[in-house]
Amino acid sequence: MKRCYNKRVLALLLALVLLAGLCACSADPAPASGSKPDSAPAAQGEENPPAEAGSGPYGLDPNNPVTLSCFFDFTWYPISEWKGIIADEITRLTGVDMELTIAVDGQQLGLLIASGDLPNLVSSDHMFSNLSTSELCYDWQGLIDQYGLDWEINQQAIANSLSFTQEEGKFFTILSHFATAEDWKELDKLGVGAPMCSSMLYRRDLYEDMGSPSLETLEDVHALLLKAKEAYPDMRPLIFDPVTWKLTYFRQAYGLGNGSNYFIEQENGDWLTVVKDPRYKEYLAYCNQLYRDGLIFADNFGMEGPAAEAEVDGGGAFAYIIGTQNAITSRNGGLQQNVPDGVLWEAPVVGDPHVYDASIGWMGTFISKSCKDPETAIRYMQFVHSEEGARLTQWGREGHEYTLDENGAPQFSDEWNEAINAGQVDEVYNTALYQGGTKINEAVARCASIDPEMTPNYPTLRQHFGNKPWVKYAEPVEGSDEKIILDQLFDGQSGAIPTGEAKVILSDTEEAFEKNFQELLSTCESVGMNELEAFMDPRIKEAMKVYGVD
Amino acid sequence: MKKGLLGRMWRQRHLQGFVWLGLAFLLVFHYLPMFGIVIAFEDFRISSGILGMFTSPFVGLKHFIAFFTDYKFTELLINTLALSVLKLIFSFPLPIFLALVLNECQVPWFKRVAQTVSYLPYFISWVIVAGFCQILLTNTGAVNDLLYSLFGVRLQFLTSPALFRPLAVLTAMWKETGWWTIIFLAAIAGIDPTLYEAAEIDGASRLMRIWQITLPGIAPTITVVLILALGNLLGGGLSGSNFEQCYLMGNVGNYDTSEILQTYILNIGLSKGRFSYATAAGLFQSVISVLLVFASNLVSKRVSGEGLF
Repeated sequence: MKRCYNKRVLALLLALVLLAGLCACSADPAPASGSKPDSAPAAQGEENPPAEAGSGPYGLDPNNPVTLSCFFDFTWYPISEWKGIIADEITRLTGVDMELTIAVDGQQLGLLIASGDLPNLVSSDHMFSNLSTSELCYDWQGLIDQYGLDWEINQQAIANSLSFTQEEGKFFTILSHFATAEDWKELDKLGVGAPMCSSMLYRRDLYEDMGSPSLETLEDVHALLLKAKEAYPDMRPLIFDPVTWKLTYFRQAYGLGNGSNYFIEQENGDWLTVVKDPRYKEYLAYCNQLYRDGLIFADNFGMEGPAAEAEVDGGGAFAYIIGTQNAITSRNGGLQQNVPDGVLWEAPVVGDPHVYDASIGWMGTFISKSCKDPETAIRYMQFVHSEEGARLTQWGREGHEYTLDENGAPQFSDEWNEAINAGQVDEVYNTALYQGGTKINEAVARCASIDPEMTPNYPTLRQHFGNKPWVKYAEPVEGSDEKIILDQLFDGQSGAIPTGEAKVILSDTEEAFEKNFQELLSTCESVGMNELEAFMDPRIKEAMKVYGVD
Repeated sequence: MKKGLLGRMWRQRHLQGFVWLGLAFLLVFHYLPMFGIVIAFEDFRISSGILGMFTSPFVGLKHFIAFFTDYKFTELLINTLALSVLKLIFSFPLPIFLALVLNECQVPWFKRVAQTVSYLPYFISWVIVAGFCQILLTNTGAVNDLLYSLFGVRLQFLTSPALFRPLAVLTAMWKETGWWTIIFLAAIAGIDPTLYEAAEIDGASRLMRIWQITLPGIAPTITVVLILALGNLLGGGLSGSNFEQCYLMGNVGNYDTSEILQTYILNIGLSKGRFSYATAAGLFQSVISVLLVFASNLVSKRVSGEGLF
């Protein structure tokens, strides 16, 4: 009996301990839902004193700190916490800091929407249409009017967001990283950076050992890869990023732009699905010849991105197709750890120099209805979309991380450049808080430490790069039958075109190539390509007027 | 002394606790979510939240028709069935065979080692297995290097549609056989040893003892496992791993054979926010599975007199 009594006492004590533990866990000091805590800002720049009351930009009060919860819908995101020099500086200037949640998979945002449990801010590069509704998020113009913000948003940027809204005339975000052809030409005057498209890196050290053959045309590239195969039989002559960029470097060379150009303008002004453009078949034939000559391997299509990087870093590949400015620094760092004399350069632009994109921007940040302090949220959005905010989030602090020269080009500090070269820029500075970032600022920052000699393609790209946002603008809205066809054709995972394209490139003979190409066309037709094209052609022409293009 | 049902339940309260907890688990995680099936018959928008399933417009069989007329439907169905049936044919008899072999093994330490080695892969996740394949089976991987040094050829294990199914079946056999062997070994252990002694006295050989005593002895277990495997046939049978294998080892090179219903539902349904369509496709698969359970139970009863229900 006594033993039983002791057990009960022990159980009671344990229950109390558990209860106390649960209470302690639930007493989270970090306020959710954009509430305003009483405590001082958690982090402040060591070299800068706290800002004076009311001195914050865009009506944000640095002495009235606010914590916003924010969901970044990117599994690859390089940061997971609000820390680093740039984060500290934002908090010092605005009083805002954030509890960040990074997506664990591509379905998490859908589940958050369904559960009605959205954080204060949601930053994503898809599901824009799903989020552009008053049921879930605040419309920005409504907030701007309500809180009397002095913010004139660029009309093109608004047009971009209106292309996917569910409520006519209301926009629920402004996309980051939107740039026009004119922006790039303007940047060319500074002579730095390049637009994001696809490049081919190649082993400059081995290239010189082979006698520096000509590298100006597509035929030259083919001949160089054949030579590399012969000289270095244990290496892959060419490897490509299997997830995003694939063989886009060659697609660009055939004048088809990057992978987002689903529809291509013809000489008569009509818009055709890319697979119907005669240059598309030529591009596939070129890639197929690479495969049949043993210059690319089939297993590359089944790799994960890091596996391809590891192959390059280990000195196992002569050339590597990846995004412009994305990899030259990091891959050189990785390669030189294994092959100290190895050097990667970006190959010149070959073929058609008119490389183009069809982009209305990249990241959209939405202010969800769960945000209890939408005023701070919209003012913060105004800050990050301002030139000051965009520079701070992508370049760091003026006078510390960079200074502007007489042309207005940033000159970065040695510490900044060293951090980039060591791959520690996000760890030390945190350049991933660019919810209002611009492509121009991003390119400048990424390319700041790159030797211009290693990137002879950049001037060509800046001068000839074009953006055709009207193609993206005209895309059908979520839930429509046309959107379903578009996804079935172009979805990167199992769309008819990406899968059919791989099959065509991996054809073993000329006959198989022709057969697989015809199969690709007929599959696209059975999915509804012609119906979609008939739908898109007038819409794109209409959209061109929105952007002032005839 | 309490009498009747309440009294009996009170006396069994500890055991009842386990039962009710299990039932609550089933109810919360298996039965309540079934209400979600209704969105297969609606135009459900994710922005309307969970309660949207009660307010979304009813569209009848629209999403089922869209699924059945999808240009990939036939290919997906063939891929799903082919992989499932192949895995059933090759991976179902293997644990029975291994259990029989291990049971006959007269060296205890070898038996223990073999059993441990064979079931350890079960605990390795498919992500890791796919990672092994990625490393070993690439064009420049160890397996291809060996093939090249022996026969002068390199096989495209990871991207060839023709090699995907053999690869999936072999990896499933390697990973799952040991685990299911334990079930059959346990069943063999339950056979009365005097039967073997009597048979031995009567002069039955080892093979005859296996054929006449062991196999009939574990027949009910084989039946139950087979019915369960058939119920989960479209999911991968015993190993239940069709989705993981196809999701992790599928790529644009081998989609002709590696793309199955479940991966398509994920890519074109859930990832694109087409929840009603994905639910309709999932429901179709569940209905097929239920029919298979009933059919296999019926056949089993007719043939062997054994069945689940």
